Amino acid sequence: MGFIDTIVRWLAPDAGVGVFNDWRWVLNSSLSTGWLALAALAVLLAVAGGAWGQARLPIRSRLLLVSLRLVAGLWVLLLFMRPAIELRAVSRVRTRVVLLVDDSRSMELPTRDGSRAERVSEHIKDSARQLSALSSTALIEPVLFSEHSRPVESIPEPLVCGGKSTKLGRALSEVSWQSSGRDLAAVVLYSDGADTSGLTPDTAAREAEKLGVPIYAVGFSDPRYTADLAIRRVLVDDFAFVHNPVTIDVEVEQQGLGLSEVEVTLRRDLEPMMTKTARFVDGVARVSFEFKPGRIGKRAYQISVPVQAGEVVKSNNETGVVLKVIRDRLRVLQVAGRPSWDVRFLREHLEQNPNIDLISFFILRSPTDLEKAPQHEMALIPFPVNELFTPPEIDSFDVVIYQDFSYRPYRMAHYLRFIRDYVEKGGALLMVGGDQGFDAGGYADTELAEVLPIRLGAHPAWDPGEFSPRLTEAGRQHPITHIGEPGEPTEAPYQRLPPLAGFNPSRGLMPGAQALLSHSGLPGNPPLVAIRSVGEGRSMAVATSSLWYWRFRAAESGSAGRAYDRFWTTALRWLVRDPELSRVRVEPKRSVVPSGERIEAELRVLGPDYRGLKGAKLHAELHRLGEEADAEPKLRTLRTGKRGEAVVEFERPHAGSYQLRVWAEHAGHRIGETTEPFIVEAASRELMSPFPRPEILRALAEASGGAFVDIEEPLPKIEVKDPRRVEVDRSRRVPVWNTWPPFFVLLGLLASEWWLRRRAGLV
Amino acid sequence: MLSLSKLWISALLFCLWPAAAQAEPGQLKIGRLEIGGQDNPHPTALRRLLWEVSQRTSVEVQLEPEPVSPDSDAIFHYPLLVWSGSGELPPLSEEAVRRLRRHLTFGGMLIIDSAEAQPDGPFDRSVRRALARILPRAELTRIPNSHVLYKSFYLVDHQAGRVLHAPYLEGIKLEDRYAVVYTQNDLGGAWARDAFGRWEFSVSPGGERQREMSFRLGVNLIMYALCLDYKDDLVHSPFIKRRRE
Repeated sequence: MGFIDTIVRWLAPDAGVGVFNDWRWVLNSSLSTGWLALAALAVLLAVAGGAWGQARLPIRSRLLLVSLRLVAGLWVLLLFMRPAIELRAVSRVRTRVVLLVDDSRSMELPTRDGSRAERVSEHIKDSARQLSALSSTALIEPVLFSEHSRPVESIPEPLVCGGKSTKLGRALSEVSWQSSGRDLAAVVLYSDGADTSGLTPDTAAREAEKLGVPIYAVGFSDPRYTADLAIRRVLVDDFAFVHNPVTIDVEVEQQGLGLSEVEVTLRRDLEPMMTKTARFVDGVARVSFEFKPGRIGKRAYQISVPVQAGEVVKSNNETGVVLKVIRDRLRVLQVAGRPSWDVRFLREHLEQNPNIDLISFFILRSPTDLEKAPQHEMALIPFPVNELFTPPEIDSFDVVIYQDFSYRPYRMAHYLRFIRDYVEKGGALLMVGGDQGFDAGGYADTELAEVLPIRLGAHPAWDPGEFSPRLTEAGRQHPITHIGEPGEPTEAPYQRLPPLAGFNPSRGLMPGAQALLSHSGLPGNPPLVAIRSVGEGRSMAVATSSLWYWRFRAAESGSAGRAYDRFWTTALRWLVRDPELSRVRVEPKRSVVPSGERIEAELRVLGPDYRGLKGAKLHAELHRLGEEADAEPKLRTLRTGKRGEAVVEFERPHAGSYQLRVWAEHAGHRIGETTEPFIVEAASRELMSPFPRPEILRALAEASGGAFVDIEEPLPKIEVKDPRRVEVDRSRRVPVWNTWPPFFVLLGLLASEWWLRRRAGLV
Repeated sequence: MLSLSKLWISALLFCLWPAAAQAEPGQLKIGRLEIGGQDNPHPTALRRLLWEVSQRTSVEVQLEPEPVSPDSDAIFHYPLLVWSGSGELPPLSEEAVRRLRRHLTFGGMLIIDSAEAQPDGPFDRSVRRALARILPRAELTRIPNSHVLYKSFYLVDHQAGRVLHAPYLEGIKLEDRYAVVYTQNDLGGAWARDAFGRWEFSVSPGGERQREMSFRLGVNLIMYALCLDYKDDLVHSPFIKRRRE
């Protein structure tokens, strides 16, 4: 301070002694870089000019002269920059120590003596003297945390713990920058370490290093008081391919129960799929479920372990995932009773679609045809009836097409039930007519007839006459029969397409079926194109073998066959339940809803042109799976907005698996229906993993240079470094360049050089 | 009495005519192109081939091919057209060229059979000139012996016809299929039979075996039109490979 006072007395006698307690050099120059560069160049020229003509002098003398000229030049340069002394009145700022206390729900779980939260409150009370001793050098900042950190006036008493998750890493990051201009000196952390954001000891150590201050962690290292069995983690990809293996990996953890193994059950829509035994190693058991989803769309899968006696949390023994199953390639089996143009054009259409894997079997020679060449001179192969039409091979197809095919010559009667079962389990059957199809193929009263959309048993079984198809009311709304150009009315293309020929009459529709096109010339307008949902699957009937006219004969009138391609493309997509074809769509905010939160989804209704449909009436019905049949489902009725959109919400449903069924109506017509699975978790994310994690707290403490202690032990000694941060209360700049001393220094330097030159005989 | 019996026969024929004329929608009907000149050198040939197809395969056929002019929209009722002939032919009209191009582009097939059996003869020149107008961007090339056409029903290893002037078939490929197949070996001459059931022409040099191979090639051509590359599907490969070894 004495030095400061001397400077103040000399340079600013009016400021008064003791006002300033700090000083530093500053430059007051406002010269631009260009001017400074010019000045530096002048100094260099002056030095170079001084060195001129010194060749006869000894080297030491030459160096001395040049150095003096250089120092004098630099001194001038420095004075140009107008040096000054800044006198300052500064004060040190106290650092802060954050008292970070976990108030997530897991802190309510019991210990030997009261809940974890109660033990923390007691520990803080016991450590009050030690913490207040820090107040001379540091400010104690109490902060609560669960999902986020929240600064508080003081740690509440009692400590109420309702946080839905524990995000330790985020809390540490937040307290590092939540400051009021004070340096963070240390963190005193009270937590069970049961982080829900996936923190591991390694990542915890990295977080601690990033923080850069010691963490003193107080936790719970005795596992005996949290006896529990919990599904810790379920790993599955966001989507899977239909008919391809998918794996669900499950990790189960137990503490305090002494189990050596546990049975883990996988269910789909609450129906048990498989149960596996998992063995515990270091308290953790892992098990994998592999299966092949049979149909596309979203399905809810539940994973559960049995509840054990004495568990502190029972709701974490069950969890679920919603798996979206998409298509890899469509596997289509086309079986045709004989080669024909209808068969050929359909095969060509299917082959041109890169997303279709087509397997065709055409009967090229019937048992009654003549054999005019030995077998080895023919390219015919046996019809592999048994291989194709029995499970599991039949189940590997997404669509089975029977095209103008009769089963009778091939003794296939007992295989028809496999096709019926295949459809009921989720497969798709398309029967295309001809004089060997439907009744003409002898399918009346067979098991296969049970899943067709049209009722068989008509006489005659085949009508070869020409006719024009008629669009039904259902057909006007259905995407399959919307085969015109974009924006064109649904009925328009049917007026320009050529008439068809050859028809398989029927006795009408089966229950639940819809006719999209009908025969306009027969009494009762029997169905020409009909569709039906049967069990889990779908079926479609096309009661003619002349649909190829739309592809080839239409070329006569200038059509490129687009109507034919659109018809079959959409029919295939409808048969395999392509979600993109649905005009009623559900986009859930979350498929797996945390406990206590609401189910929320955005709904959309599209018109026949697949643009948003304004003013459609929507019904959304939420049904809990496994609930008694007489239980009332929750129903909402909504209207769509400008873009055909609406939002549906269901407040705080109970835990369980749900199916949201949404259907829409517009102008008196039903537009469509779709379903969406939801899972409402029984346990909050917080209680899915209720076990204390002292290893995470230990990693934080060790990596940061702090210490970890159990809640039973006293708080360790907290070392707080001296504050580095200063606050400037007052300052004053006093110029030095225009005082006598710098002038005398310059004069001295120039005089010395002159004297040496004179002595050397240069002046 | 004679006039009465004639009346009865006429009445019977009148009653039968509509049924006979109305083909089943699933039947294969072939359109025989009427270009002009000598465009039907073997009138019984196609009927005989179609009869053999009906006997040997499951394909349902209408035995009589339908004569059709390329100037008419009726060609779009027949995805399979056959053009046989000999000698110089009159040039196709612009309308016929446009219609045939559209027919072939949208899935139709044209089989051309030269009855004059004379490479670089007047018919051959007429055909090449016409094809160059119908499909100007495509080229008539030799069809490789490994093509599915040679195994679409029978395993055919050799060329066939009334004569064997050209040891290959030629064709024009549109995308992945041959829309035009051209033979210069007078296949129709090997198929033709007179009203008494006798073969109209002898075949050389292979005799009756060559005639049988001509029918087999004809059956394969029709199967190819109806099934395209079906026999190239993987499921058939091991069987066909084993039989060819």
